[in-house]
Amino acid sequence: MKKHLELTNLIGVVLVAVAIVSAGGLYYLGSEYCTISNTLVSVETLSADIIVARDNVTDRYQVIVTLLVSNPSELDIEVYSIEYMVYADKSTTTLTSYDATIGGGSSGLVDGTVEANTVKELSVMYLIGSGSLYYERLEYAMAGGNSAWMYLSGFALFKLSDYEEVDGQRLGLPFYPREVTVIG
Amino acid sequence: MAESSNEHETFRTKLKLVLWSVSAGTIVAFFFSSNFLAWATQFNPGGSILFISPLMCGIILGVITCQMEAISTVISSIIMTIWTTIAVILVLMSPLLFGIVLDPTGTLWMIHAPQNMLITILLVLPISLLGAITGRLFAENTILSSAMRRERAMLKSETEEWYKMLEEKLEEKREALEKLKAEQEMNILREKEGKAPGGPENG
Repeated sequence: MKKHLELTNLIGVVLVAVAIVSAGGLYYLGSEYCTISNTLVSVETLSADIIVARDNVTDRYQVIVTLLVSNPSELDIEVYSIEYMVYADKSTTTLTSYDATIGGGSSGLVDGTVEANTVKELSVMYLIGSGSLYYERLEYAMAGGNSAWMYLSGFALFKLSDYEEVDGQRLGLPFYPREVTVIG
Repeated sequence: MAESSNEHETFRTKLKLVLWSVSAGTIVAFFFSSNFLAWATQFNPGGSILFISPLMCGIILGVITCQMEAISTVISSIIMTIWTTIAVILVLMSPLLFGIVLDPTGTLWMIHAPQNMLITILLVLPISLLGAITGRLFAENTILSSAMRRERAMLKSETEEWYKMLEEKLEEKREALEKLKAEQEMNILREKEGKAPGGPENG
């Protein structure tokens, strides 16, 4: 009888010991989950901007879309793509219509890693060649001057560098219609 | 003095039962949470662990509660299920509990939390109960010492003897009662015959 009781007690003690280890595992899981969630909700785009430069030699416009991404969390993130659409018009009335589009698409980033507790500027660039539809639209929007009303819409995609499965997270592009001066 | 010692022993048994059930629940909760949050860790035990862990913990609970009453095994499974569910909810809701995510619909991962909680409740109770009963049966047939089994057999035969004796006593009583009843009926009949108006005395 006593021998049997000792055996069940022994199994019980082992069970409790394993449970203590499991409780540690649960704490680890919870803290990891909190860290990831914190990263997902705290990463943000502080600002988005459009820079347009004219190359008089080749008669082309260079459009640069820049983002200022803040990562106040403890994990590194990797912004790997910016999906955007750039609009230009004489005024804000029809600025967001499809006819005002002067470029867009999906641009991958070479080094989009934003380390923990840092702010980093990321940019993508494209060219508008003379004679193209976008070229004509931009020229029309500037109306002979050197500035046009512009708007940027879209989002950036990021993933967590240490967690491959946490992918496809979106970052908004905070951009309000504004008058952009063309450089050059 | 003996009563106090008995109470103390009962309290200890109950405490042990709760402690073991909560421990088993913690282990199951760890495996379930690891499976649900496999994307967040390097440790992925796989889907089969959802069946294996409650079954194994149930078997262990059945073995260690074989000395107690049968109802204790069932109660331990229920406590284990409740604790597992609480622990899984705590882990899955940890970002909310710590105030990191104020809007649960704001993150993609929260969407699966109710489903995972439901899976936990639906899987743990039946599987752990099955395991506990299996474990108890196994322990009663194999682990129990031969002395213990002899003791149980003796107790069983003693109880059967007691029942037999009780039956015999009841039979004796029944016979005596029937005899008494028959005598009483005879007396009543005799009395009736003696007092009857058109009886032999008046003729």
